[in-house]
Amino acid sequence: MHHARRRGNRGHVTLNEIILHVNGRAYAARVEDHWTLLDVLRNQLGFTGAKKGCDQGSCGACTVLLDGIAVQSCLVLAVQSQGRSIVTIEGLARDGRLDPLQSAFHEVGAIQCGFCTPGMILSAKALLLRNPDPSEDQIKEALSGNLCRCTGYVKIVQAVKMAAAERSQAAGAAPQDVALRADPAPQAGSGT
Amino acid sequence: MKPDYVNIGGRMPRVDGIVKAAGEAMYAADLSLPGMLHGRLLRSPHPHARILGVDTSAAAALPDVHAVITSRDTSGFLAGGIGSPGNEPYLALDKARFVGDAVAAVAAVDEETAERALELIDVQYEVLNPVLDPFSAMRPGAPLVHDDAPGNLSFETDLSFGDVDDAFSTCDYVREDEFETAPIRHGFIEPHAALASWETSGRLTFWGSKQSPYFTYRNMAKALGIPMSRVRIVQPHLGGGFGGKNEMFNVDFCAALLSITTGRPVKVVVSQEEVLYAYRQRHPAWIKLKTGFMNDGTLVAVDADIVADGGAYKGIGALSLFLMCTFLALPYRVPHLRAKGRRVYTNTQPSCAMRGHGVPQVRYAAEVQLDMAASDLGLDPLEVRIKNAIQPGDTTGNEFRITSCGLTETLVAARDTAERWRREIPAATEPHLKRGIGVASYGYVSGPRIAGHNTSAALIKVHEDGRVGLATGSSDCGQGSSTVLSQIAAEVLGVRLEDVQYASLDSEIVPVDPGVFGSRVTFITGNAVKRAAEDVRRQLAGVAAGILGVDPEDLVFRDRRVFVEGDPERGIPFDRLVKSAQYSGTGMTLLGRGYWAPEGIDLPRFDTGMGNQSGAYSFGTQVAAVEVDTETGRVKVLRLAVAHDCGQPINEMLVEGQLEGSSIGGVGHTFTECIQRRQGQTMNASFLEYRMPTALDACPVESTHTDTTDEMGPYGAKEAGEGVQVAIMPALVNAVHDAIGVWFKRVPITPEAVVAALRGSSAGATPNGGAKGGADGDGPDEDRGPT
Amino acid sequence: MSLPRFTYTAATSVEEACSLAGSGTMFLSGGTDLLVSMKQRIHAPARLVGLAGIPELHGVAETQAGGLRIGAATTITQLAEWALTVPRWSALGDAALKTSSPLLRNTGTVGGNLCLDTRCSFYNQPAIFRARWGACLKLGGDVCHAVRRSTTCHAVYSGDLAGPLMAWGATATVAGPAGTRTLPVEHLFTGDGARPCALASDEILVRVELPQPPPYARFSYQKLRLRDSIDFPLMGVSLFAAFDGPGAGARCRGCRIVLNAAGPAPVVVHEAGGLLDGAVPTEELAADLAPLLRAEARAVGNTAAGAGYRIEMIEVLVRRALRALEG
Ligand SMILES: Cc1cc2nc3c(=O)[nH]c(=O)nc-3n(C[C@H](O)[C@H](O)[C@H](O)COP(=O)(O)OP(=O)(O)OC[C@H]3O[C@@H](n4cnc5c(N)ncnc54)[C@H](O)[C@@H]3O)c2cc1C
Ligand code: FES
Ligand code: FES
Repeated sequence: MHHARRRGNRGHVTLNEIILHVNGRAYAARVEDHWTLLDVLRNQLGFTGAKKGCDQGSCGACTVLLDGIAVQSCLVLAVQSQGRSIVTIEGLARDGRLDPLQSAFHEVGAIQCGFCTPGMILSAKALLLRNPDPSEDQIKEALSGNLCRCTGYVKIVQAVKMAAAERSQAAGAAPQDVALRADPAPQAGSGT
Repeated sequence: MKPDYVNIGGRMPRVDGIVKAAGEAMYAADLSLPGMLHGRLLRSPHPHARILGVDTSAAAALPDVHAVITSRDTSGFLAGGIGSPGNEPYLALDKARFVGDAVAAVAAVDEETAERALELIDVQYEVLNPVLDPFSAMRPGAPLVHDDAPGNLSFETDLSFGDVDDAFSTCDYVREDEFETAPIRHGFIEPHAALASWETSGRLTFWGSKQSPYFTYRNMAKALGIPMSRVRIVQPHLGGGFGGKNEMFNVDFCAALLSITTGRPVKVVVSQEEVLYAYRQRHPAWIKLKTGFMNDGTLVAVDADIVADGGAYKGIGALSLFLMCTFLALPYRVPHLRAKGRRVYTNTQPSCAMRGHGVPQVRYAAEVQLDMAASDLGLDPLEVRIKNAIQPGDTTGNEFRITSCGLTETLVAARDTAERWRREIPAATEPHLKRGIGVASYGYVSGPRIAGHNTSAALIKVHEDGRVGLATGSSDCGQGSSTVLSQIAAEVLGVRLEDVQYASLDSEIVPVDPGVFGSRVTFITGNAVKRAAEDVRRQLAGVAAGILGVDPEDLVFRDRRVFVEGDPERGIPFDRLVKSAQYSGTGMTLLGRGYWAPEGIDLPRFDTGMGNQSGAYSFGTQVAAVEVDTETGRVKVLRLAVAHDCGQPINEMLVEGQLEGSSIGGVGHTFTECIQRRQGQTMNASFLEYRMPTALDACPVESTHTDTTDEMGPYGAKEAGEGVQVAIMPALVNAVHDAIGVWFKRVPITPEAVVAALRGSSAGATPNGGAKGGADGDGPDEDRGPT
Repeated sequence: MSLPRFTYTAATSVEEACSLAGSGTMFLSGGTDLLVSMKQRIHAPARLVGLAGIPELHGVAETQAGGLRIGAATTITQLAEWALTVPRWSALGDAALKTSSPLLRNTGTVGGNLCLDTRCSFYNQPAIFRARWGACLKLGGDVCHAVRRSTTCHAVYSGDLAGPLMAWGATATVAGPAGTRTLPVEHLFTGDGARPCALASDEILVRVELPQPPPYARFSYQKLRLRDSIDFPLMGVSLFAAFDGPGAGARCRGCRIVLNAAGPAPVVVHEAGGLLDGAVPTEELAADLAPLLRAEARAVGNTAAGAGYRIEMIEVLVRRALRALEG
């Protein structure tokens, strides 16, 4: 792995050049060790769909999929994310078509201010990847790390149910999900 | 029979839903500009301290720091204080007045450098004794938060009509109780963020997470000493407001001043932690309430003594207190009312508007007390409400003129719901679980007037391809106003909702708007949009009339066509008509404008509480079913229902969304949410420790809509989003009483309070009479703290 | 707040990780606890050594002896999902699901949970708090903000897994420069709120191992909290018991009761276990067991609920655990 040292007027700053695989594409990013994945996604790579709500693991607005699993990117270091498949909200639509979850959120009114929406949808996505036909209780449980102040969750739960129902009808959905789960990234090196 | 609308009343997905679902919607913190610097604010760790000196030299000398500012760099502008001078500096002048008050700000190449620079700023404080609760603040000799506010009195309202004392002597039954509500959070997930870019020509462009962008427009100009027209506010998407993002804050000011100082764009994003300890809260209130009834349940007189903790500054607190007092006059007929309110300064976070603005606190007290009285009188509390319900055509003693009003219908619907639930909800399976049902009602405004300028406006541009661009000065903080307003434009012009493009607000050209508060947007801006669309329709009708050879009056705009009434075949597609208008002759430009405000609305008289507040009032009744775990004291909400009169709903799906969000928010306010303070320090400044409901706390929310059509509202619409947060607390508290027979006069009802009450100790069930400290839980002694 | 600056090293073996340890260095597993407190400037290590890349720390599997081996870097979700598919471990899976939120369980690990820093309302605070209140005992100062004049720290071990694991009789395998050692999980805790974890700074928790459950074993973990997700426990009771047969009338043959979130360390309440031995568990026994547990509780007013309430809830939790075991 590449290792660049920059001697700037801020003293010794170690910038690691790392490769991050986001939404199926490889990105070279120059990061410091202590930068979170959330900050690198937002500030370096422009994936501002990942939101910073609390930066402390208690709201879920920063949720992304890491190898198909929903995690809070404010509690993951960027250097820890090398070689793993990262999916942000920007990566859910395929060929200009929204993911069924995104459409369902829109259609049933599960979005208000929208600040929790990307994280909420990605948590729901991770759920449906593992459990295509969840019960209402399972949906609530799976979303219970994502806070929403606007909707009271009622329509959010409804949207996930609707997307699950649609998915079980549409057979064509499967390949996309496999792509999400599998690691499309060639193995990159580990951190420093 | 209701007219058959195409774009009004249905369940239409919101116009900004797809960009939000796709992650493309840009919020203030998402924006960046070339050369942009990052700002951070230094905050006082003391609740009350004189600032003796600020040494910024070390911070300024740090490489990559571009500017450090303190109040010395400002004009000392004081914000807030509607109807009277403000008293909140954006950077503390002589004193810091609460933990979190901003003292200095830094701009650097990145956030980390800015944070490091803050650590190098040396502030010399002379720590002063703080006043931490309103009762000690009012004591003679208490330290003063503001030297010009003796007794720490921020505002007083003294509302009185009828003859209260005399009336009580005629009552069969009078009771007096003390209620207490906690300081709580708006709870938006998006922290405050601002991006400002100063041009040498003297123009400032500002993008911020502002709920009422024109508050910032006005204050920014005053605080910077530049003409208002040189402040350009552009509104990005907004991650929730609920009243907590109305005012212009220090982040907004510092971004601007730092940009002016550095000549670079500056973005300031505060952390959620800072939002939670250094920004606004809902006024905690102590309400002494005395109510007199006749034996048959007729409400005769109300006497209230309200103390509201205003925190460190005025803000818009005068209105909060005014609303607390005046809304004792709704939603029942109250012949005799006296409401004395005091807003008191303390060295804590400033209090401001929050969903329901002052009314939830007083309705909580009044609606619970009504149930207590009904229970003593052996009456059904619902029947008591029906008996006293305000009616269309009534004028309250403080001059609220009630026009459309479906309160009685909502009560009848609520009665049906409660009866159905009693059948449907089985008794709890385990003996330690107790179930109960409660109701409570509310009345709310559709846009109170707080200043001279009460007019909202809209602009419409029709594109050549027949699509309609719409702009207004009202921002969409998630409540869906851009959708509702687009629907109104679509309806007038006979196009589809998807044909309307809601433009982002840009103060350069979009007319000024009083602000997004008090549930005014659908009602007031909606009317403005209707007029703007009618303006365009008139222009197009003129052209169509020429083409079709008919009178413009005879034309119908519908289904993307313009045709002769009664002869749909004789018509022209909307887009063709637009083209014809633009290309025939010298060509015309299709621009519509409209503005509106209800007539006959008084400026609030903050001192007397008199005056009609709104062009329309909304009403509703909430029903709540709960299950109390009598062993742990935890309460689970099983179901909620709202029977509401919001006039003609413009979009049922959005109205439902408002009801659901408001209701579940209210669940948090009733059971788990409370700002905990020790020695003025907010102890739970995180979403971990400030407990808002999660998906597991959500429950089904049923809604029944009562059919009224408001004469003044656009297509008959009224307020829908705030009123519902007014009665949810009392409905839940009444339900808890139904379950376990305990009245809680203090919210939130913590599990500890439930357990204590069931044990027979009064700890939680009555107000914290002695200390009046409010929100402090147990822990170290109150006299302890840092020195 | 951004994270304070540090260098990150991803260790690939236990030996490497131990060799990198030293002053100013901390281990990073899932990071769900450590990174939050670093953002609050409670910790500011110069180096973090990442444990996630050490293969040895991963995996959940049954041992040949019929026990269960859980790698320290196993996420709580991985543990729960695996355990829920195997009937005799499923009760452990249920307990694991009571930890934090689904998102945090996806990152947070079993090892991090056991080595979790203790918590206190006066400790888990942003830097601005300390600017006024000063450092408490746990941060090297000489005051306890929670208990007046206390000379010991009352921060609470608030992990959810230690109680259940101790109740199942788990042992911990720890590796250090001097090799590995195995100790009961309860010995991971010092009982000192200020320095709760008994491991030396260059020791790593490698795995925990649960012995083969005796026949007819039953288990329940009861957690007191204010919301059903996200929230740390305010009190926890774990009850593990072997029975002499299936069904309702069976008698206890060996039982362990553990109290967690009651003080600086989780505690096995041996007397309580003894009291249950030979008995048919019924709710009524809670009244006898609760005083023994209460005697071990060290609750003070430094969490989201009052100490009195938390202590009072012990009996309720015990009763519920007993009810769950009634079969
Ligand atoms: C909002 C929020 C809510 C939470 N709620 C809960 C809850 O309800 N219940 C609960 O139990 N926890 C809760 N947690 C805490 C945390 O998520 C879990 O305890 C988690 O299991 C910690 O594991 P980790 O791998 O993330 O630990 P880390 O943060 O990586 O580490 C924690 C500590 O353990 C040390 N450590 C980690 N692994 C090892 C090892 N193998 N050897 C030696 N030392 C090691 C680290 O150096 C560090 O000091 C919550 C956290 C947050 C942010
Ligand atoms: S921003 Fe990461 S959990 Fe809130
Ligand atoms: S839609 Fe606003 S927070 Fe969820």
